[in-house]
Amino acid sequence: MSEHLIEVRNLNKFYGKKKVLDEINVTIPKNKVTVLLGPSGSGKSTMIRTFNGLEPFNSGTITLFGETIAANNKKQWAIIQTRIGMVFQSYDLFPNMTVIKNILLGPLKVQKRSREEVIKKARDLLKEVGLEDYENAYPRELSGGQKQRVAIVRALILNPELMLFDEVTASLDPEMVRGILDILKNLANQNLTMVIVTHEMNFARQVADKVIFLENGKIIEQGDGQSFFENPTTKRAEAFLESMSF
Amino acid sequence: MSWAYIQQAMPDYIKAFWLRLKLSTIGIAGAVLVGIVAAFIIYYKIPGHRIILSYIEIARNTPLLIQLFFIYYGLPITGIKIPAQQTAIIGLVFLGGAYMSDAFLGGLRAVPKIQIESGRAIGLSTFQLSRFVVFPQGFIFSLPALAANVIFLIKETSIFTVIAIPEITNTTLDLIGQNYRTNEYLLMMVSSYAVILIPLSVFLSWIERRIRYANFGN
Repeated sequence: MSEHLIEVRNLNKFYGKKKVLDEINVTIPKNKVTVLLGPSGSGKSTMIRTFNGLEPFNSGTITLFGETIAANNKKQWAIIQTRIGMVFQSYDLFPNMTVIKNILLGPLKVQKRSREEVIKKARDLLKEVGLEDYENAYPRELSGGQKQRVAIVRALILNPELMLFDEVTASLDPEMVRGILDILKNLANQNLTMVIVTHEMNFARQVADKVIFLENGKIIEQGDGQSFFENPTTKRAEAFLESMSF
Repeated sequence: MSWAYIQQAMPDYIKAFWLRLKLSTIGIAGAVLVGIVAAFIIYYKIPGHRIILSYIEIARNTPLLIQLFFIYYGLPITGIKIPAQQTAIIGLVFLGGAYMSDAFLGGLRAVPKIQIESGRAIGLSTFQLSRFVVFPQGFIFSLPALAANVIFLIKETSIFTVIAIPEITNTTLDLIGQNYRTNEYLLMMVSSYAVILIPLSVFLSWIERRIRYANFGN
């Protein structure tokens, strides 16, 4: 398999007449952290959502794990989705289930793994994120940061080959952001392939192996993390970095 | 007001009460089933959903009285004869199914999109998504409308008198005709409805609050 987990070719996406992703050509390297940056409305979230089939696109191709998926092939996406974990900005736990049931749903019902094995793994992961005492709590009993940690565990228990994080700290109190970012850093150190949309520039600088900078649905600049932060090649990226470093 | 007449009519009313309870229970259970299936067909735009939408329009825009007439007096012309009690149940399921599907559909559509996306993101199939995420949450959202429909359908059973089912209204009209004691029998009729509808209404509100709290904490 190539060293890229995702290869996107000539991808276009419209909302009505508005082009929200414009001729996107990117690769996501395996076992690395790729950070998507850009101003609000630049298409970052739309782009990351195309990587697991949540956002249908109009033209172009996405090659994931060596398999090319044409636009809107729902059957292909259904198979691929089990290999990708995703955590969203809003707290997306199922409110009608306890923490442990939220976590076990995927491995038991989708992956058909043994209950004993997944319960043990769930408890280990909950312990890792400091929530071992909350397995029988309902999402309403948790803080925003705790919910987001459970959402991360729920994605990780599926043993994903790729993790997508869409502004996972955007709705959190500053105090809680740190805890989530520490978990992400820890995952990055374990060489998990990750794509992260974030506005946390210090964090991005620390973890990004690759940066993709977008504006108005177009890729303005992409390259390795260090070069982007130290020597952006476009004026727009330079201005963006300056505006973020107040 | 004569208590003697009330006492004398009690066995008839008890019989009528149980008959209404039986017809309502079966009819409403059927209506809930039809409502759930119809709501999911429309929600997922499964082929045939336009037929279901037409059914809902027809059922909601014709009175139960006309529906019962059609089934009980109209269908025999085509050779289909359905006994009175079965006609009543079919009528209630036909009408109630349309109202219930509307209630469930409103509930399903109230489930936030992010919940469905989260389910997809962990690989749930459409059936699993419906079973574990959409239905349990949508059901809670649809509870107020569902409860209102249950009470509405029980009240509609008073129309069964037009196909000579000896339920409460029918029994009342018969007894008034026989004994000319309007006040006593009307009191009995109102009490028969109140005794089931008021506790049911209180119970449904209570259960709605309980389930909503248990699931969403508000």
